[in-house]
Amino acid sequence: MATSPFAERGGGTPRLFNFDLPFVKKTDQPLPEQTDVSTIQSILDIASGSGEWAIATAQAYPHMQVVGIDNDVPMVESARAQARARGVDNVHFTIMDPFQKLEMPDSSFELVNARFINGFIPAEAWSKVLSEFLRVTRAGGCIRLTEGELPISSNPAFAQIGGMISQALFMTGRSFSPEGRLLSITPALQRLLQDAGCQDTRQVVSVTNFSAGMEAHADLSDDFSRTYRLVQPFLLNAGVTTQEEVEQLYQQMQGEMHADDFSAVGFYLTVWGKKP
Amino acid sequence: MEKYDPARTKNWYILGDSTTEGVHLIEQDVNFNTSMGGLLPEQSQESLTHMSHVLDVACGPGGWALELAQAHAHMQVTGIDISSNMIESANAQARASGLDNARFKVGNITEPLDFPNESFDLVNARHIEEVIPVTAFPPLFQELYRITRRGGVIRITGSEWGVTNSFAYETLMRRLLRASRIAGLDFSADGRNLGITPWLRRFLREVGCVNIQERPSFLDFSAGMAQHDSGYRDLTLAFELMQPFLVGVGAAAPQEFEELKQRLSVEMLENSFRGIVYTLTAWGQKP
Repeated sequence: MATSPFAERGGGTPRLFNFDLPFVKKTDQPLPEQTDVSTIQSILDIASGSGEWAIATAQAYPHMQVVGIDNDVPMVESARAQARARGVDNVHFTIMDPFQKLEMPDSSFELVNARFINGFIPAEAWSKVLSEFLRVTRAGGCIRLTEGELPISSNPAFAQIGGMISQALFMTGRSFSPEGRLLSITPALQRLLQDAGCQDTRQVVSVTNFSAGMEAHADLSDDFSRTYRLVQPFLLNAGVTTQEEVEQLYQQMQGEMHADDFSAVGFYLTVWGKKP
Repeated sequence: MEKYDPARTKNWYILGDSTTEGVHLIEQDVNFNTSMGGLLPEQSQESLTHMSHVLDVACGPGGWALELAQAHAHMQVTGIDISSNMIESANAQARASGLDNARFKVGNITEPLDFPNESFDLVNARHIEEVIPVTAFPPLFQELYRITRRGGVIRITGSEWGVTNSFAYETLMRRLLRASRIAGLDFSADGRNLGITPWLRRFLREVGCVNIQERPSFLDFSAGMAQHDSGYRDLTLAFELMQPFLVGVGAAAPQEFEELKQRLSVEMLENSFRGIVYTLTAWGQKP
């Protein structure tokens, strides 16, 4: 089982956020920053979870074989069912711990993709995890990481739960911040890839505005409602809140998200580099 | 030490408006223009050719407006700022560069603007979250809308404060956010971010703009990056200049502030230093 801060892992592997999915859904472009996808024949999607990104990628690029790995059995089963239901046959999901030694030969993929995995692994484990990603990447292929900072919102309960998550991740060693204000994962990414041995690293910024009235609002407010419920045992274990406080904030947050003045944006960074 | 007192000076420059701050703002302009990919990177060539009258509000020493006037000879660029020091410096720079299509005058953006209705094709506001209180935004946007022509564009750019792996930087940010809250400059609901970026679209929508779009940019001032050296100079100067503000509103003790400043200089020069500033630009049309 991967090191997850989420106690309720059997019920799903909640990422902290899925800021990129509304864009992927709208544009059918899961790899918007890659100028030439024709050379990519095979992709490994790390901690594929619900399978949405991997399925969208397989659908957008029929010439590719996409493999998603996750150690959450019900999630993998549900991802497989999704792929079948949507008639996508160039995507496969495998039960495997994505953050241990991968049961795959060296140089298996042109692209290894990992989105929003920061909450799953301790900061100090990143270099080991990345060297394993690099092992299964072909020479000339690349590793692509996408991470975000917590969303910025003008609504107090939503923002306050974000602050608790930031603090709890810091206290449990899953933060690149020296004191827990923000996650500080995004400025760390490029150097992590370089230290792992990647070359020609590049980064591109994106933003998702999921304020009331925006296209992304419905999907991401559902996503956050789910994640911020599943994250509560983790917050309690870390001692950053009480049951009563977090329940009350969560109720308030649900109200905020459905109000006309809900406003929130999430900045995220995609960083990629080549295996020499 | 000069005391921070916006009520007395009617000036919300938290860094003061000295020549040193002018230099700091010019450098900051250059850094942001580079990181954003140009002066108006999101506007098409087609729409640029139709923009003949441009206003930059809270223009500071005029860096952006002067560059725009230089790059587009057909534009008449006007800049206003509350500081007569900044305006004098901007006008002097326009004369020295031989730019007769850029002019600057003193103007307070927390009061009605001294321009007729529908005067401009583009009204631009960059980083005004640093110079006016939150409560001044809605009336300002009413004014910006009034002086924009039908079909013209209102454009606003705001930045969250940086995200880094430096203890001193992060702690200074917490102090600065506390000070901003006391001074009424804080948009956030949580005290961890300045919180300006979710508001930009909303300000435009609430005055009646349509076709609102957004574009993110970022400035990576990590060790080893092209913008690290200028980022280091910019920040050490900024923290120097904001001491009266931070200490004045009671958000940091002088001794603690001094220690954090020194520690910041050390941490930012370490090879392991990582830091990014996220910026959002939103623009919309007056129908």
